[in-house]
Amino acid sequence: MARSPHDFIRFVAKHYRLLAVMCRENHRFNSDAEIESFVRPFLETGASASLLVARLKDLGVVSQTTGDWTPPPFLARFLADLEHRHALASPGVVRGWVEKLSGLTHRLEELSAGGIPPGADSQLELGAVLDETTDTLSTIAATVGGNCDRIGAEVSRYRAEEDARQMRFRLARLIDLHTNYLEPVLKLIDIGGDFYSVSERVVACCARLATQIAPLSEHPICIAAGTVARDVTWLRRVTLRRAHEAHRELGPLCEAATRESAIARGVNRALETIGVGDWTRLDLDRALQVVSIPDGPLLNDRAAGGYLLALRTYREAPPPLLHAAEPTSMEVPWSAASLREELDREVAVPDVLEWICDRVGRNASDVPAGLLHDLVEAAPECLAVTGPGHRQYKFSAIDLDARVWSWNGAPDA
Amino acid sequence: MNLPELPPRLAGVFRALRSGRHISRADGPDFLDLERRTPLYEHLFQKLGYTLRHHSQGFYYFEGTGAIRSERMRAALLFLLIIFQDLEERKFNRQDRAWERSLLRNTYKVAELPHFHTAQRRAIMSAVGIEESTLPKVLRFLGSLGVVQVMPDDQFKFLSPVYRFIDLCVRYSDDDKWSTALSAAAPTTTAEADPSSEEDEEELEP
Repeated sequence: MARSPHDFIRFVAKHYRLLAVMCRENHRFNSDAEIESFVRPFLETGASASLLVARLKDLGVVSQTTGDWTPPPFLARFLADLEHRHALASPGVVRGWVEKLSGLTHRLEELSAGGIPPGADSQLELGAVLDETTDTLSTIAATVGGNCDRIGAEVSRYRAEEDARQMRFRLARLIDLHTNYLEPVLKLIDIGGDFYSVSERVVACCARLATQIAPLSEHPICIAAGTVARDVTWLRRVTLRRAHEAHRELGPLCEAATRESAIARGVNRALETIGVGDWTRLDLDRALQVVSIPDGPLLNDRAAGGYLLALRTYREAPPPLLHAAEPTSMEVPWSAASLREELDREVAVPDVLEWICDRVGRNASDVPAGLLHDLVEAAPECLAVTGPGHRQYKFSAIDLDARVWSWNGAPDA
Repeated sequence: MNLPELPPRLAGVFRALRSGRHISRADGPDFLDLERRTPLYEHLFQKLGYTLRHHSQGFYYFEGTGAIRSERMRAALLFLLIIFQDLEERKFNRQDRAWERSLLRNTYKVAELPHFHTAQRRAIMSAVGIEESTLPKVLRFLGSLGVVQVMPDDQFKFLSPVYRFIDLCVRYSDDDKWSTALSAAAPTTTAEADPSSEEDEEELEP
C-alpha cells in the first residue's frame, strides 16, 4: 500500500506527544483494544480512538512485527534524535562532564608526576588518558556551544514573533533558560569555576610532559601532550566566549523582563489594595516621603522652628505700672560696696560704725551693724579695732554696745 | 568645614526642594549646581535640618515627612500605577518589547491615557475623586514634584524622579508579607507565566 511521507510527517507532528511516549516506553500492543486504551488519554474531546488506531496502522506509524503492533524502529530513533537535539543539556549534565574531566585529570597527574613514565603499559595508559581528556573537553565545548546556539535561536524566534501571546510564552522560556541554564553553566565554566580550575590542572600536566629534553621531546606522548595543552586552551576560550555571547544576547532581555515583571507585580498588588480601599497597606506616608513646607520656617527642626515662631510673634511692650502701695522712696539702699566707695575717698575714719549710722540713720541697729560686718568681710586690711574698750551706740529702740572699728584707707604694708 | 562661598543657586534650589520638587537634569542650572557642589549643599541643608538625597537615577530631593495632602499623593500614585500597568500590558505591541528603558524618552498624550478606558479603572479613579476633567490637575501636581514635564499640545513626558514611584512598586513586589490572597488575585505577569502551558499554545500554531 502506497503511503504518503507528507501525510506521515503531518500525523507525527499532530500526535507528537502520543508517539513520543509510545516510542520512549517501547510499547508493544497485542490488539486494537490495547492501542485504543493507550491512545485515549491523548485524544482531543470528541475524537474517536478507533479511527485514530486505524490511521496509525494505515500510515505505518505502528507496524506488526512478530504478532505485536509497535512503532517502527526508524521512528523511535528519529524521535529520540529529535528530542536530544532540541533539549538543552542541563547544567547537571555539564557538571557531570566536568567531574569526569576532573577524574581524568587526577589520573593524568598521577601518571605524569615524574614526566613520561618509563613502562610501556604506563605510556599506553597515559596516551589513552590524554585522548579521553581531549574527547571530554570537546564534548563539554560542543554541549555548551550547541546549547548557546539554541539559546541564540530562541532569542531570534522571540524577536521575530508577532503574536503577543506567543511572545509572552517565549519570553517566559527565555527567562527560564537564562536563570536555570545559562547562569549556572557560566558559573561552572567561567574563570574561577570548576571547569576552569580542572582545565588548568590538565594544562599543567601537559606542560610537564611536553617540556622534555631531546631525544624525549620527539616522543609521541610529548607531542600528544603539547597538542592537548593547545586544545584545552583553545576549547576553553571558545566555550567561554560562546557562553558569554549567549549571555550578552539573553541577559539584557531577561533583566528587563524580570525587572518589568517585578514592577508589574507591585503595580497589580497596589491596585488590588486600592481597589478594596485599603490605602494604609501602601504605607505612603513612610514609603513615599516628600518634603513640602514652602511657607514654613527655614529650619526643619520642630524645636528651633517653634522658637523662631515665638520670636516672630514677640512685640515690644512698656514695663508694668507700679501700684500705689509700692515703696514711695526711690532711694537706692546702702550696701557695703557703696559705703566702701565713700570710705575709699576718706583718708581715715576713727569710728566706722558711727560713720555708717550718720549715713543710714539710727532707726534700727541691724542695718548699720550688718553693713559694718560686710565691710569687715570685704576690706579686712583697712579696718581695725581701736583700743581695748567698748562704747555705747544709741539707736531709736535700743542702745548697742560695740567695739570701735576704725578705717585706715592707706593701711601699712 | 569651611564655607568659602555659598552656592550661587542656593536660594532657588532650597525653595524648590522645600516645595517638594525633585530636581533632575531637566531643571538645568539648579541641577548642575547641585551636582557640582553636592557635599556643600548636603552640609548646608543638614545644618538646617533637611536631608538631601541623591537617587541613582540622577535626581535630588529632600527626604522627610512634609505637608503634602495625602489625597493628592494618592491621586498621583494611582495615576502612575495605571500608566505602568497599561505600559506592561501593551509592551508586546512595541518594537522593543519593553517599556521601562524607554519610559523617559517617550512622550504621552493626555487624550490617549488609559485611566478611563475600562469600568474598573473609572471606578477606582472616581474613588479618589479624579474625573477626566481633573486629570490635568494631577499632571500639574506631578509636574510640581518634578516627576513629569508637561508639554504643549496636551502632552507630557516622564522625568527621572518617576523612579521614586517605580521603586515603590518594586518594594511592594518584594514585600514577602503581602497578602497571598491579594497576590493570587493579581493578574499573571510575564515572569509568573506558566512555561508549561506553552506546549498547548504551540499546538495552536498551524
